[in-house]
Amino acid sequence: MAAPFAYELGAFDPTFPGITLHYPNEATWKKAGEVSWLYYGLIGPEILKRNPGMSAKDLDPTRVIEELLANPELGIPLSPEGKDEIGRKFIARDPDNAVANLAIASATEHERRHFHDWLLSPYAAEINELRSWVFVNYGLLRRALHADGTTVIPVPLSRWLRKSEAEQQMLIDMWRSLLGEAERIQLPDFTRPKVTKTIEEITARYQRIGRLFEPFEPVKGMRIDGAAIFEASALMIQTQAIHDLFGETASNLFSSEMAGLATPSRYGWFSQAMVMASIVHRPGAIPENGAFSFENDTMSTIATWCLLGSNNADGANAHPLTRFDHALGYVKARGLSNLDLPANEILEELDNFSGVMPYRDLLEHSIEHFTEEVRCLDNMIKEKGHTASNHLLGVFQTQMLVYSWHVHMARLFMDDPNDYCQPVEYLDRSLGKLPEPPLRHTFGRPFYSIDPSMLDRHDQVMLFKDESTPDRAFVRETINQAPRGSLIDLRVADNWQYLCGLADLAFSEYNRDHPEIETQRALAKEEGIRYIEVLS
Amino acid sequence: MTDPTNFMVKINGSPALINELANVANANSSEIQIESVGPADEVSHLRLGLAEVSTIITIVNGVATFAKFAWAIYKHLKEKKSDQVTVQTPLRTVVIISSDAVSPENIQALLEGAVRA
Repeated sequence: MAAPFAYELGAFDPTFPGITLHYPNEATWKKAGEVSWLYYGLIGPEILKRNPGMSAKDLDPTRVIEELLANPELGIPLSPEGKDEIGRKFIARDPDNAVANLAIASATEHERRHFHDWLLSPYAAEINELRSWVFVNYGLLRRALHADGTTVIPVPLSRWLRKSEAEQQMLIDMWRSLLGEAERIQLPDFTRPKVTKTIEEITARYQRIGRLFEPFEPVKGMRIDGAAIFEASALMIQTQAIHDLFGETASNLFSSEMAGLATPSRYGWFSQAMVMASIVHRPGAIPENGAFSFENDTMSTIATWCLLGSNNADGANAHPLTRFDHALGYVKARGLSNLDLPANEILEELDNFSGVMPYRDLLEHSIEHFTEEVRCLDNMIKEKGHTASNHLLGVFQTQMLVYSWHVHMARLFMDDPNDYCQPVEYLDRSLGKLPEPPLRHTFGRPFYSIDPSMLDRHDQVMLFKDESTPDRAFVRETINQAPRGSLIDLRVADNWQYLCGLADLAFSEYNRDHPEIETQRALAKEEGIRYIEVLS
Repeated sequence: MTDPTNFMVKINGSPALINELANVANANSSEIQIESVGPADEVSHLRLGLAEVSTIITIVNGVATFAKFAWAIYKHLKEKKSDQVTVQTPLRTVVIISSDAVSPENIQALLEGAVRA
């Protein structure tokens, strides 16, 4: 089956605590703009009615978001038939790219769910904790690596240290030919016991971080990873968002196309496996046309439950795929059609069926653990504030805030799991209640330009420098804080990204083309240290 | 890898482009040795996208050899405007997008820039 779209539209990258919407080309950008105008056209009159002093030209994106956050009850004032008509017209305008266009129209909701799931999940919070301790250890190691006249550091370090002496020598010869004989190559002394031990410790932490993305092959030829559960959760929300704006025809089209995708795509596998588990003992449940439909609420609740594991509290049942396996057993036993229940009942049934630590206990445990961590870090900052390095203080402060976001999200979830798990409730009621992510827009090519005087409308901006002129600024990336309801300070997000980049440059064996790694490499070069890539 | 001018390059792109580059390498085996070709590692972040990415790792005999790859990349990006190519060398990573495909020479200059000390 051909992929319904072939380029990246958005990302949630745990090294940047916000969401990214990506526009690979001008057509994507225009389509996103078209959807925004459609949305404003539908919701705008209601906003204007509520604000008599406001005119239509005041309705810029920031103002619309502000109004939505302040008035979460604002909705699309159309009947289901009206929405369906809009959806049919939207599809008919470009039928070949209908699924891609629907994905563009709902990318924000997809990524926003990743952001919330990441903050909520104890498993993800523990990954953040692992990263935080890497930052602390790496601060000391980095100083040792840079000492004693080091000019070159081969990275990722673990890959370098796996090479034999002969392989290392061949690589050094290769680098010498690239750098020229005049440039001295002095590697750190990796034989110092403290250095070796710290590298081993950090490498072990990176291996634990990477488990979420490690592929698992339940049957030959089918490779899945824990990240597919996060994708399933985001996909349910995205499908509902399409339904809310474009009605049933459009959401059914999107859902069936995405659910039909085979691995290695992360999108179709969750629902396919659930449906198979459900019908395996109930062949009579298969409709005559073979098209099995399922409740979005049920699937979304199951996906959320899979993300609530904790290594600290119940290590044997922490990984999202382990919990998914339990959930499959539950669906096999109960059948999806019998699970049209409130989310909290499904969550409790899943706990009881699988014998894992109940989700409320997991979250309580996580809240307690990270509240204590926040308290300790706060004390350390107060005690060591005058003597600790800026790096260490920055790490402590960033750690403290990242942990507190998780505690906040876990508490909100415990207040009402239904509001979070069920897509309609999540979309209708979360505005103004859940934290809003910083929003990053990235442009694959220099096609979007603005007057340079408008640049300060963005909290952060990067340009395509070569293409920009004094009159037109070609935008490569913008970052904006949500106007209200954000608990994430951009400076903290920046710190987190910086610290992740610093450690990833030295240790991550994946995503070696991440822009932050390149930024850190360039900064180190200014200090006279080359981080040279060991490519295989 | 006894010739000291040899160096390693890792290129990520669409499977079609990587196939093309593998063909170029095979046709120029005295100058380009393929170390591996295959699907890229799955990225370790969550992304809304379905692009398949493949990787080729080659050992290239000198900067001038890049000209062989430059033409294939140029042609590919001219046709597939949404695609991008990521070139990793020991010294840096360069992302090449379709607006860079002004000429094969421009692509070659970008590739050469990726190994400039």
